[in-house]
Amino acid sequence: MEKYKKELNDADAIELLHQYNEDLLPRKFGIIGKTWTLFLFIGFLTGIYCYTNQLKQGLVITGMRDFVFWGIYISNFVFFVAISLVGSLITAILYLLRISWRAPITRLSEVIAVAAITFAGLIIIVDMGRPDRMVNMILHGRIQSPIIWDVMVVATYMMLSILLLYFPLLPGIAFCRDRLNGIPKWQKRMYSFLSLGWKNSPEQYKIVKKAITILSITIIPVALCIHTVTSWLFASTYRPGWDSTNFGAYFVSGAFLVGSGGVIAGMYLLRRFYPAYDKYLTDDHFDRMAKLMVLLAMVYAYFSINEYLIPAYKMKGEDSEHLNELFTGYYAPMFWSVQIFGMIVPMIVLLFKNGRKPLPTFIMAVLVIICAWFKRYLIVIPTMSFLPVQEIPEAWKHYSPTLQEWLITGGSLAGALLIITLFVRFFPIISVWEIAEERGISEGVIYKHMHEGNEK
Amino acid sequence: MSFTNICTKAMKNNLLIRTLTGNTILISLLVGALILSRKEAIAQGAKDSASLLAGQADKLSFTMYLSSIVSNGNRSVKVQVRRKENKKTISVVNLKSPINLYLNEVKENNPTDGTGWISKLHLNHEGEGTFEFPSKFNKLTSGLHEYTFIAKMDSDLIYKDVEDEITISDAKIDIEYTGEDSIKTVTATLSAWKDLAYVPVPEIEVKLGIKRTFNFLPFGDPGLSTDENGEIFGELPLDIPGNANGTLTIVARLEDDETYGTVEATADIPWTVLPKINPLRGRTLWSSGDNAPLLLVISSVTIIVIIWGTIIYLIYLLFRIKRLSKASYTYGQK
Repeated sequence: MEKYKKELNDADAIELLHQYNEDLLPRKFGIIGKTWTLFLFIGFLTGIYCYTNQLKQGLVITGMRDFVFWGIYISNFVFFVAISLVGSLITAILYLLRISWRAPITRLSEVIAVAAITFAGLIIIVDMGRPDRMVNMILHGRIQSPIIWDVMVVATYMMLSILLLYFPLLPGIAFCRDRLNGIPKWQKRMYSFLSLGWKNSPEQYKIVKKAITILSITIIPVALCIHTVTSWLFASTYRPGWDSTNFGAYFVSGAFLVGSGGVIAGMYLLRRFYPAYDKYLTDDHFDRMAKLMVLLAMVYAYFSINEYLIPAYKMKGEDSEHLNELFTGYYAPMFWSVQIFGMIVPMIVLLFKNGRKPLPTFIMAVLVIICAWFKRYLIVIPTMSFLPVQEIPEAWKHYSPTLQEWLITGGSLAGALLIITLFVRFFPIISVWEIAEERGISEGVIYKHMHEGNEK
Repeated sequence: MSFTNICTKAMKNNLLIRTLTGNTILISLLVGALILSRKEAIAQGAKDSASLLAGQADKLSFTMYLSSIVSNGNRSVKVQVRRKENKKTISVVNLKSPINLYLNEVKENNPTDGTGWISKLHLNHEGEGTFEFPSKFNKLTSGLHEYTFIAKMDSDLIYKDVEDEITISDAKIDIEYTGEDSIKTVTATLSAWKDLAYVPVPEIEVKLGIKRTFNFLPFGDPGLSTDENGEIFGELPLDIPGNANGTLTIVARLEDDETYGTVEATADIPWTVLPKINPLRGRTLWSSGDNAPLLLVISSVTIIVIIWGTIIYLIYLLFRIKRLSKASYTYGQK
């Protein structure tokens, strides 16, 4: 744990601090970065265009109908909520446990959390046929309904995640404001506005640290609530596959797994495109995150077995039809793929030291993320086909997303990635002052020399 | 340059090319998808025009329907165009060409009495075009008590022969409510303009109903016609809940009459205000929002206040940081 902390004299500490500032300032994108941003932007705009069609024509442009009323918008929402939990895992839980290696990955996890929860909120509005009636839900909603709890907890978690991202970022914004030269005026003004006139004073740092502690304590129960309540949306609805008391824990464990996958993927890509980050996002970080991922995959496997094994042992009524569809029926290839590639394979590969090197860890993380999306699809869609109504036309039981529905969903994913990409472009994605503290540079040196360094 | 460097550079270039190619394919896919969805949206309109321009116009028969609606004294005229396809009558939707609406005769608008051309209508996605008389136009035509509406598509070569004409006489409905003891009745009187005054119209079917969120809930005996005084009576059911203001909206409607068109009147009458907390059902998880269990309300509100109180405190800390920045301080000063 003390691996990163070294005894430093002031001269070495100042030199190191300057080095961190030099390495971790946000930089202009190259051709790949620009192409990637353009691609995401086009994807996002395509989603908006299709959504305007949906606003004009209604939900009839989707594959959803009266009986199958939840589709990929909802599975996408559950995915976003899941991945957003990483903010609380890396930042809050590891912070409170005083895990020393967490500093380079906290901001990445926070920005993933903010991007994901923002689009979780938006995709829920997209799922509403009449978004203008959202206000009625607040004015006339029933406190007894899990949907109201979900709206409240999503808004609360979003607010806490934004604050948890913003407080530790203040010194970084101020550094960009003071040291980035040759940037457009709007960018300068943005830094100036967002930095709140930060002066690097000990009092200001004291407030920031106090706020981080309060946020870390507050966000953990809210994070657990957000995904538990999301699971209750299903568990409190009478449909086979959802009648589960295990759902809260099952959802939360899956969320931590996909969240850690998101952070690992982000770490790898940052290292790939910013060579100087090698010094901060080290092989050791990949090793530790991979071990964490194995632990989370094991916990998730435990809850998954609970979720499927006991109902499969009993095989009662509609549950048996549902489980047969998953185990051997129409959804079997998808079901077994997500179990094997999204949980078992990463667990095995990452148990080996060579498997925990950056590239294999990245591949496993990407597998976990992709499988996590399809896992949410499997939780939502197959169950919707089992209707609590008899003798209805066969066609009413089937759902397949339309092209526009896919494009809107893709647009939301592109939008979330766009937030992360733009953040990396304009703000320090690795927190300099937290790295400095983690590596043993004294507070005095940080307060005094934080804003020094080579001007860019 | 060493072999390793050459290989690395080649790999990088290859990666860049692959990335760009991949993006180009994806962007093309998205653009293609956009075009497809756009095509789907305009398919109906395009189908009409394409088939007609291909010389099939004479094989299709078009029918225009005009109808007049007077609701609480406000007049509007609705136009629909339908055609037959595969032995089915379907509405013509989203037509680009406008329909010209005339009052009394086909001529340019007469600004002194409002006759002649009155408006241009476009059919919407449901195949309907509606003209609502503005108050200025109502004043202008106030001397008229018989209206002849003519709708023509004279600017469109394909539809130029499609037209309809209706003549409507002025009529109105008055609603009177009597609520005594446990019997609450509504009387609707239908009268039409004749010889310089409104006179009762007997033996015409007028429907009575209660306005609900999406429709009209009929009450009274079905199929009743007005008596010699132009009146029709209906007894209100007592088990109907009113709205939140404690009123009930009554509707009396003469539907699609040849002489008078559709004439409708509404009136709000005093009704029972429902108690916020229903004493019979109590506070349960399955009740309305107002009847939520107190324990749930108290615990939810407590949690919300604690968490959002913390958030407000954190926002206050941001203001404190801002305030500290105004104090004189240089880097490193303790």
